[in-house]
Amino acid sequence: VQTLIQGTLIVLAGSTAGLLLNIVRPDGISLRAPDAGQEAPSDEACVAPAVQARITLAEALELYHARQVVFADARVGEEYATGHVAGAFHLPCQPHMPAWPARVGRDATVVIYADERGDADLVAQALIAGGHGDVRVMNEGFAAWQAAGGPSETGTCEICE
Amino acid sequence: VTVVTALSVTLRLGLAALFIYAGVAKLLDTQSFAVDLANYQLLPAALVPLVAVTLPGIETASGACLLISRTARAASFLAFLMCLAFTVAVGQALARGINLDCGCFGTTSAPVTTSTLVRDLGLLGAAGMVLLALRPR
Repeated sequence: VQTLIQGTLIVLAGSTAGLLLNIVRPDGISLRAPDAGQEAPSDEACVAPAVQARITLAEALELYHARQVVFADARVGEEYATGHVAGAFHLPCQPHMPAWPARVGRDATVVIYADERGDADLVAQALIAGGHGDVRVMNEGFAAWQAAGGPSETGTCEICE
Repeated sequence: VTVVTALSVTLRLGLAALFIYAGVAKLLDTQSFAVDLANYQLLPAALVPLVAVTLPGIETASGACLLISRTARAASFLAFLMCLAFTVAVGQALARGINLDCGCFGTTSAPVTTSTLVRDLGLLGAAGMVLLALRPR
């Protein structure tokens, strides 16, 4: 019985500490469930549940060279202009994301990457919410892509509309 | 008997260190842990943020209480339950072919693979042994 009481106390103390810490810290998360059927998630929605596959840099390179996928860059404009995966669309992680280029169908396999993991996740969620079936997030960022010899280019997105 | 005692104390201290490390690492990056947790597709969406906030606290508290003899038995029981839950979560993700980050140790995460499952089973065994060794006599 004493063990049960102690266990309950540990659970209570631990969860209370966790809750308090979440309230105190500036980047604490919202405890409310994400609204169902939201259109474009805002920044807070980074914690919304999403079904997205993660792939490694090696898998991304393989898909790239097999020309089976469309790449999308979720970083900000300056970063995209400084260098991005050759042929990648620019879909920055922001409250109102640009529309998905109409010329690329929703059936295409899309690989999202960013330097911040949350950014790529958020863009992936928005695409899935928009009806895309096959959206994957590359674990590594653009620096790793370049370091691995992945094709890259600079400049603004000319294929985006 | 001394060998058994030494082994159980070693396991207990190891588990304590691991749980404190895992708990603190998750507390440092609650957002990522919430995303990882949601990706397991095991909990209802409404529960994910609450669990993401409280579970790391419980992990850390259990780890700390494993270090104290008076509370070690209760803490090892909790550690056993958590290891069981982690094993089930990883196992179902593998079985359903969900490709995800395990979120086991905060941002230093790795994808879930069979070795994650093996590790969780090992931890489950270790927690079980500590729990058995601490049973009141």
